Amino acid sequence: MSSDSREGIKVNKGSRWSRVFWEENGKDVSRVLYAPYPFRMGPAGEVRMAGIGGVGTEPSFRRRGLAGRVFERTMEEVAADGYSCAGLYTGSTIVAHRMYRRHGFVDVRRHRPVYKLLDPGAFAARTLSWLGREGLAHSPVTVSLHLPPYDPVHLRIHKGEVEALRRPPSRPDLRLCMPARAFIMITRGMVSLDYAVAARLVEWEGDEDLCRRLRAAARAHRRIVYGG
Amino acid sequence: MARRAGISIRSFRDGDEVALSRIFNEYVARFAGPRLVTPESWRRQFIRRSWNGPSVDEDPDSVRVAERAGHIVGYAVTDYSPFEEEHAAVVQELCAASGEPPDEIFPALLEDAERRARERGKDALSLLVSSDDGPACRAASALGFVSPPEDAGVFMAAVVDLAQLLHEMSGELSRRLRESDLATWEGVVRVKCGRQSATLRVRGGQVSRAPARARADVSADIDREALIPLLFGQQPVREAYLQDRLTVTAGDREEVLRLLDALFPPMPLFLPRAQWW
Repeated sequence: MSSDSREGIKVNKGSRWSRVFWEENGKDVSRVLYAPYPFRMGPAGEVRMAGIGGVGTEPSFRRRGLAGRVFERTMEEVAADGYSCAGLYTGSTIVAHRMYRRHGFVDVRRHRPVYKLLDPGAFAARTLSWLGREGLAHSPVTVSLHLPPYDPVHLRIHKGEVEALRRPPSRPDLRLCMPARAFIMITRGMVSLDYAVAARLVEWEGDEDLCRRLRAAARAHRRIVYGG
Repeated sequence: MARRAGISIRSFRDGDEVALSRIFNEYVARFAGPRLVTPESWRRQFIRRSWNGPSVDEDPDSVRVAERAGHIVGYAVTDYSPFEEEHAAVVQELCAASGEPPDEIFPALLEDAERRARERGKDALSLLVSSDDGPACRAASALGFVSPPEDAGVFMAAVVDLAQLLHEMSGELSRRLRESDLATWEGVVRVKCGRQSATLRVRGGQVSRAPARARADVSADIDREALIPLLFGQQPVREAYLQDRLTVTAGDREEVLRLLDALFPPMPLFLPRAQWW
């Protein structure tokens, strides 16, 4: 392992991973790791890609340009090590994405996972648990959720808890209908409930005031999708 | 043990890595993506749990092997405790042996993963392989998986040294050229992007690096935003051209676009979650 320090940013080169970091009191407060990630461009071509990962800055050291300086130094090291390109996996909804773009990174491909809900009731109760915290229901509220192609699920929101009901309520306070894929997009923060309503992905029936409060609660709920 | 079309499924056993690494390499060979594996490197990946993968030593069910008539014909890697989704399981590598029909093997493996996820109290199962992977997408669709248009996770890349990158790609560029209808094209091509440039000589169906000062017959100036998608086969040359992100200087513009089409064709990418580092 070799190490080097310039302008406070240190570099440790290991047998596989190299670490570029800023240290305070013997602890990494901002760092980037990179390692060889040979990438096949087809059956007859492999390029020397540096795989970048482990990017992070301690919360109390953020918004000082530290991460940008460490990342800039990382790219200098990557070039000095003879890599022809660099790659990383991240989230498009996090602040680091903008930093990567400033350093010449461009989106190659977004992930497109597919999902199967094994227990739509439990999934809905879990992914909507924030509804209880957002003060939606001071008194119990029942919601019937139609998520084709799955069978409808029924939820009860009360005292900060969202629970799946085994039987449909005789008269739900709110009835929402949307394709399961739209519901997954909303729960993963890929689209907002307001957007889904505007795009007519969601239909609902029920008390107007409750609908308004549900949308307000969804707006208040913020979610960061993926780190990296 | 699950059975479907004569397929039986069992958990990983030491020694399977020889067959599984061969199957992985055969399956992904037609895609662009991470390097091919050896039995040792494939096995090493699943010794300890990492942020993007399970440990087969801690959980032998995380690698399930499909057999038919005593032969290994495919496998699935499933993470039952993914860091990002505690209540879900993620199938993150799904491969079938060459000559075996994935349309029979993948549904059997996915049904098996679903059963095990239910047993573990998971409320969702996701498949995170590649949207270019036709057999995997077909199997998932037939089994009732739903597909949001895209997720927020993204693979990004940057060019550090364009001349070096195209030099490393020269074998692949030669292969592409030879398989195109421009195999006999000869000349010097200069590719420019911002302050970087690369000069390539094309002769006798071979693409090789040429001196930077060589007189170029063709010059392609590519916008930074278009270079990476174009090199990784994610944006067609003509689309970049029509978007004014690619300009060409040459006598016969149509022929040059055909040449660039041949050198940088759209290409399927295979980036299974298990292979993210």
